[in-house]
Amino acid sequence: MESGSQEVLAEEYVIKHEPYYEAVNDELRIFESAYQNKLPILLKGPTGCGKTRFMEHMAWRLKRPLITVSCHDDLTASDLVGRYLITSGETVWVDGPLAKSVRAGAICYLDEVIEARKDTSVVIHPLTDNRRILPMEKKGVVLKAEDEFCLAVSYNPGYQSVLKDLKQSTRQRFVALEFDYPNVETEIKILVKETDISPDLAKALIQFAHMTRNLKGNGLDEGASTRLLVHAALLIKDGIDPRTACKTSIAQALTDDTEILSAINELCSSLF
Amino acid sequence: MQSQLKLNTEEMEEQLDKHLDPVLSFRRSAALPAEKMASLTIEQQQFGLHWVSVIAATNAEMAYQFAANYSNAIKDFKQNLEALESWIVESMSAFDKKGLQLSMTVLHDSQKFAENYFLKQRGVTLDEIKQILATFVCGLSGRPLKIEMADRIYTDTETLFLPNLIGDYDSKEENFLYYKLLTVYLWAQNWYGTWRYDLDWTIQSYDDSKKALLLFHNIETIRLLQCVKYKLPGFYRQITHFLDDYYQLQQSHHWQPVFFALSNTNCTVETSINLLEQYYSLLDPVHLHFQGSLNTDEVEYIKSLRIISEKKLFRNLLSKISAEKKQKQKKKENTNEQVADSEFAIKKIPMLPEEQFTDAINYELSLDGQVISPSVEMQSLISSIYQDIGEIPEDYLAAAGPGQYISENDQAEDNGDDVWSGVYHEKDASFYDEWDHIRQYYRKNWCVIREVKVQGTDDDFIPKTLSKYKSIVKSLRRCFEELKDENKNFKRQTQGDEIDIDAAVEGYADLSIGMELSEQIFIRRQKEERNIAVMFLVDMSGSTKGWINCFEREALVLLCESLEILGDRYAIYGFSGTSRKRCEIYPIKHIYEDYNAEVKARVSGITAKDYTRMGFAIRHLSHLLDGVEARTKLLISLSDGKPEDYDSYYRGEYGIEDTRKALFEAKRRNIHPYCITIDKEAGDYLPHMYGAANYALIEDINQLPRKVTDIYRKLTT
Repeated sequence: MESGSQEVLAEEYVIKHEPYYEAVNDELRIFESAYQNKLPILLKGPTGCGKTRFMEHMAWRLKRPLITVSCHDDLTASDLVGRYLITSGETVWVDGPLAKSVRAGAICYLDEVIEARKDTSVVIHPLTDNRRILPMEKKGVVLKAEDEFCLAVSYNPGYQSVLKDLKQSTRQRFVALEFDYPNVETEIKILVKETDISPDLAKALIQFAHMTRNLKGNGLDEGASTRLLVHAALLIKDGIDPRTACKTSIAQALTDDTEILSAINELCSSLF
Repeated sequence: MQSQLKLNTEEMEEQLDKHLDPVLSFRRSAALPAEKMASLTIEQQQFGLHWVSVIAATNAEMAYQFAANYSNAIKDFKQNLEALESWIVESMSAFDKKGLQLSMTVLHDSQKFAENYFLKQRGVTLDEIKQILATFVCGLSGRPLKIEMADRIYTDTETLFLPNLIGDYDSKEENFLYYKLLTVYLWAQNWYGTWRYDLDWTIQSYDDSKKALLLFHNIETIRLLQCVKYKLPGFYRQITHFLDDYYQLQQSHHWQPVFFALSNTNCTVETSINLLEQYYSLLDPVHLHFQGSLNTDEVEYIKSLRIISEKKLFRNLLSKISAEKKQKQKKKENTNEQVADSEFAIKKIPMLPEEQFTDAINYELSLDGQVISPSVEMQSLISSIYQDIGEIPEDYLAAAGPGQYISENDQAEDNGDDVWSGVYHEKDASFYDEWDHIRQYYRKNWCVIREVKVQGTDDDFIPKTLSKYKSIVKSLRRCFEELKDENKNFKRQTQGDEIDIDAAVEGYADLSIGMELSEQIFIRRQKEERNIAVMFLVDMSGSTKGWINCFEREALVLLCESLEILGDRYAIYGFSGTSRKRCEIYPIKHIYEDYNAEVKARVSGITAKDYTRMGFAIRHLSHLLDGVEARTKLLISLSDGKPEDYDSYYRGEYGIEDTRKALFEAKRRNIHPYCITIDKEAGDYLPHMYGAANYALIEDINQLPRKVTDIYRKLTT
């Protein structure tokens, strides 16, 4: 194991060890095929179901650097492309993560792309059709993407806000992969592998997750994700009482509504 | 000090005389109350005298009655002065409201008051925890179950009926846990198939059917608790101390074979029926306090209605899947020829050993040999049918023909024009086109629309609602205040409070390479203007009469409270009517109207009217919204069922397609339509009308007021 913090250039950030990912359907083959055909990829799915882990796994599989950008409502096109900075009285151009990916033939993953500002579509669109170019307006040039470059974006269609929806002109450029919570068998495997807990404990946690997923639309926007189950399992493994672990790492993470919280805690105490 | 000395009878009488003088006479003295009070402790005497003086200031007779009852009350209230005080305050408040008569009743009935007081202290009322239990039971598997109050503990397979108050145990926690036991037990009856069998028929075959039912109930309770023990081990551990009777039964050697036979969690209701037959003459039924009763008549009634409607719904969903497939096939083969009918098959997938703990029902639905993935609605329908019948019968798999809702139109076509002939309502009315999906064109000026004034009702509905949802209103206010106050940093502005470092550096860099310095180098902080205009379209059809209407109005009150804080422009319109000639829109609040007393009276005055012709209402509101300047325009409908009207042709597919068309027209005008419904069959037609992500189904009508505001918040943030 490597120890201590290390500084690695984003475009050189190659994942050396295989990130654990349990394939649910044929998403690995579809991603590889899309990659070979230079098609951009859209990952849809609820939070914590393994989208980011899937991207890490694919980057490792394809042996390409992975540059991840977590999009937020202040993220503009120039944050992605790059900008001039001043160093010792001189202007220096600094590439943004998208430009770095395009140059290095990396995989650029725009997480929760729906959160980014609308002007980002100006730079995303030319990269997602057959042109595969990145216009760099400030420099007055266009950057042709390396063959190995790949753009992947993710979003959670569960949001029902009319103010946040992926426009048809954007979504119709991508090969879409739909993610959901894994089936029971796979989820047990994931929990056991990720946290080294016993299969029985994994089953109980998954049963609890299913109960919270039954509450989707009945007080909860989303049920407990696999990620939350991993958190709870890690705490339990570390000696925390299962009820406390589920309360802090799952129930509290799901809602602030006191009545729903009480009900979730009752469900939890019915199992453990 | 004198006040710290215990008073003897004479001294006490002297004290009482001072306060009770107006009601004392030659024949009525304070001697008797004084004698009783003289035997009390100093603290109790002082407490009593203090209250005699306070009550006497209001009414001397009441004070006398208090003094006469005080020493007995102390025993009833177990020397608890706090409890005594609440009894006194209650009697005074009874005097204020209804006079001496009622206050005397309270004072004389100290024992009953004390019992209730202590019960409430440690007890839990259903109202306090109904929401928690409803959410809890929703988290367990199976069809959503409602929680309602009743004198008996039972389920009708759609609702769990629980007592209003439980206070038999020492603490609130214990009493809550007992509620939880009842809830889980009744849920288990539904989930583990107690009602899958025709109990009435079986029970009637015994000479003593009453005994048979009670004995079956005992046997079934043993089976259900075994299942619960396996599925919810934590819960079972929590409730063991409530199960003393049950464990006694387990120890009884008469019952041991039954326990042994039911020790396997794979036992079904058939096992219990067989055991009943086997042990009917050998065992006597016992009373287990938590098991309530089996209400076979009510269950059979509710179940029979559900089975019919679910079968219809299931076959309807299949016919839709089949129609979609045919459509695709025709497109693929580029042909207009008739495509052969599809064949559905369904089979239960045996669960893997590692999946068995989840209790899930795994079915594989296939169409012409190809496995298809059922929608969420279909999955929950399959689960519900399985709960009732234990399988999906063969005849369910025949699709319902080309669109089940068409089959509802088999009645002779009534003509709305005959009913509303002449020019009724056409004067000063507006006209809207209506989409005829069969002809595939608009019927011109088909709907005659009038805005009809809602008669306001000046009652206490608004304050009552606000008080009923006091805690929700408080949290809504806080939540919407936060939304309103959301400060935004606007970067790259020509003026602002701070320098935008990124922009300044970029500008400096631009300057250095000979470009012009941008003026946009400031950050301006300001509250983001939401610029949203929303119109609520409220279903005022006859089917909303009663509870639904009440909850709709409550929902509107909470909405108005929230939107007033937020500052979004909003309007509320009701709609109903009878036939195309009498389409009525009821303005409750215009978009620029303040939320004033008149509007409040109108909200309060919303009543159920006639039918639900939706297309015209959407068109009219779209037209109104079109005239409003806003970045985001929303049209939210509150509805309780699919569109229908007196004109029978409007029911079913015609109404759905017309509404869908009206919604398309709205979208073209840049209006976002959204629907909130309480119709459980909404999954069948709303995704088609509104799109999958543009509607919300609220299963429990009680939740409508709180959910509507919540949905609005999520929709616009």
